[in-house]
Amino acid sequence: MDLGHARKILNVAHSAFISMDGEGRVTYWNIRAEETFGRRREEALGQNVIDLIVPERFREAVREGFRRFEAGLPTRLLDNRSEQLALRADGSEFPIELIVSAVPEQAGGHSLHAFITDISERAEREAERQRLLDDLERALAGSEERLRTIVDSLAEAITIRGRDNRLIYANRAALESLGMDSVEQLAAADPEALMGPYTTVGEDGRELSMEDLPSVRLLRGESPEPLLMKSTDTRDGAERWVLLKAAAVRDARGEIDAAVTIIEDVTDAKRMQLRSEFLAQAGATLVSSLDYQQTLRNVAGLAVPQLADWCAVDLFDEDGVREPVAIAHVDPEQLEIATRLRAYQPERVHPESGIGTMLRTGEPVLMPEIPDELLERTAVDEEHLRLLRAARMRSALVVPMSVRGRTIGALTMVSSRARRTFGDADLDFAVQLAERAALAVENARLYGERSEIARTLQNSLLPEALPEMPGWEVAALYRPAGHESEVGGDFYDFWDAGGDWLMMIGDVTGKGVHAAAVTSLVRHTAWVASEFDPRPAHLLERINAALRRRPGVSVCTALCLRLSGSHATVASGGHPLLWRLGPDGAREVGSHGTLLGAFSKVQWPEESFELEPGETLVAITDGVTDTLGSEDERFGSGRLGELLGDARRDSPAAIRERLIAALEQFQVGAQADDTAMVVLRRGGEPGVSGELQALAGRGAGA
Amino acid sequence: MHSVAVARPLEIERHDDAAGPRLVLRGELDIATAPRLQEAVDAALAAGPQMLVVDLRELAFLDSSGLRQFIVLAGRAEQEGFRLALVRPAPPALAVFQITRAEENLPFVEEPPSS
Repeated sequence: MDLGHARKILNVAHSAFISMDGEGRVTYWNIRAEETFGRRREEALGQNVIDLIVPERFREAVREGFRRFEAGLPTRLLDNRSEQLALRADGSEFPIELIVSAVPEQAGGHSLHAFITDISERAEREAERQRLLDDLERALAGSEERLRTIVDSLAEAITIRGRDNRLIYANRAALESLGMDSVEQLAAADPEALMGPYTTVGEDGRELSMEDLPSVRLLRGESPEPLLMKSTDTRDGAERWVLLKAAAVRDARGEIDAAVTIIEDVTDAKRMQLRSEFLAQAGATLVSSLDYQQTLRNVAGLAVPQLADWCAVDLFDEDGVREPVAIAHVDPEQLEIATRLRAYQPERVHPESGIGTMLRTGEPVLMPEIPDELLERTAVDEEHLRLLRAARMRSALVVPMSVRGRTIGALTMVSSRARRTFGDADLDFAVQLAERAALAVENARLYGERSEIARTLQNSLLPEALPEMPGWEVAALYRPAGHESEVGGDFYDFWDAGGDWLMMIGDVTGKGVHAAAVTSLVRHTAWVASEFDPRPAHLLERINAALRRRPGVSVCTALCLRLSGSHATVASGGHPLLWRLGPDGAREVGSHGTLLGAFSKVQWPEESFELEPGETLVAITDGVTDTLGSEDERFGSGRLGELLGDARRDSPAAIRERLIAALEQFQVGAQADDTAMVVLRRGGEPGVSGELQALAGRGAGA
Repeated sequence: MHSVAVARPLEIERHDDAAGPRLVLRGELDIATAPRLQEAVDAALAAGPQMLVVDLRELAFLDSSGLRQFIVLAGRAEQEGFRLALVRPAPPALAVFQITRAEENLPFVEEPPSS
């Protein structure tokens, strides 16, 4: 395979990405890898990756892994997402998430490719949360005086709400954010009035009232999930994302006496998530079409209004002539001014204007504030100045779109709101976006080989190996239909979300690069969403929202399963239901939820249940039941149910083999659709008291 | 496993009623036959009718590519301002609309609107 192509596609990922030969010598090191490990590409190329990023005490083990791989033996790291410790150039260590894939080379041997994400912030957040809970537990065990002292010293805001819904306590951090001086003042305030100056909306944009708060719901006798909400201060427009988690305080008789809320400010994390979602979306949009002009227009459209009020893309041809390609503006009236401004003598770029400076220096330009003198200086004549003033630009940034050192275009983002001025984080983000946009243009210009791109994508989308899930036996099946060079629409994935396991299986309608791009967006969205809230219904809701934001119609079915010890929760987004193989046969569990990306009327009901040791769950895609036999008959769920019922005591691998055999025997003609299946069996001997096992499982999982 | 390619027929019959074109589908709508439905729909909509009826009562099978056709068509109806009516299929073709909850999101009717 031509690695040049692969790199361009894989650069779309926003993780650090390293390619190496079979012995670990680095052949590629992307910009993210430079940032993550603190080493420039020039320093890394040709060096052995073990010396660069593996802490000394693990080096021998990793070398052994390489030797096993060279010898053709199975290695644990390959195609499995895992968490490891890595080494920075300055000698410090930090946790990473890592997935390595091997690609056979035409000249023989393999090349290895690693995606790496720095997860130190995630790990720190987790540790911090644990510390907080421990402190609280200790504090509640001690005197009230001690409780106040400890709780007041915490950076997190904490409130306690009494049975009458009034706030009876708030620590210092909470008082500050509520604008109160003392607990007495707080206790006297009307609870509704405390929410007065804020408008609060949930992740889905729905307005929230006091009744939705976890503490109020807890006092009502419900068991609320954590609530992620955006509060906007109507006095100054400041936006904050907070995660509210409530726990019950019970009196001697076990009745709920009050509700403690931990309020975690996740504004930075949420902004990062929005950006990362946006980049995944933009990446998918950019590779999905070879019509780069259209995709650049789509990207400009995606950036508004979430990230900027106005976003524009210009390309420069070989002679440096500027071609305005795409523009999007939040305000249709202002769009006209912006369009006229860009069309205003486009060949005359003032050297001191944003684009002029960027072209002269080749560097990104950040203008946090745009003073009127700057407009006066850069206007080419009176009419131009009038337009510049009418455009009401408060803050702007211009970043180069570069390919092999040549600037082929410029990405411009403008804010016209006083409260949203751009900073370094925005600039960094725009640089990444422009990097992807430049690659899309280059790909479209230089390579028309969709099948090549498709193969590369397929490699990155379909991990063959399964993770080791302690306490579970797992088997999976993936049989793509059609030509080798096409990317299929079925996928499955497993990942660890804070001690719980999440499994997702899905089917993206269609095939080819478009389906691959949507698959990658769906998986990415689910991973990111699970960091905040791993409920299956939440993941489906976020995927639905991400697909709905895409131009055109992108639809997908998905089934999401969360396993916490022996406790399972499942939700379906238009996907065939999960099968549970119990002592009296196989039956479907859960209820139907809405197809993802298609509709405005949606619901994703969740179903929870406890699994006995030895019990098995099976998820399939419709390729299984739609398999065509003789006389126009389909395999159908009746046959599948019978097969699974008979196989309920088999191991997951044996169940997979039985299904393959049954399908091959049944099938007439060529396989029409992709077929995928995931089988999970809970470990332990059947017959041992289920209740006890379940309790033990919960204890270990919590 | 045989290597004989089996033709999966989809029959599309078009009636030009007073209210607008009506397409009657028979057989199987899947990844192989979906493009033919799209062609028939494009042709039926070329004259800019006020209403399009797609009769699914004799449809024997439908897969996700087939379902996608109706999602796109419903979007077109909204955008281009014509009325779309889908005559509810019998099981098992109905099952796909139910599993995906498309049934409550697409404009189904029991009988073709009287012309």
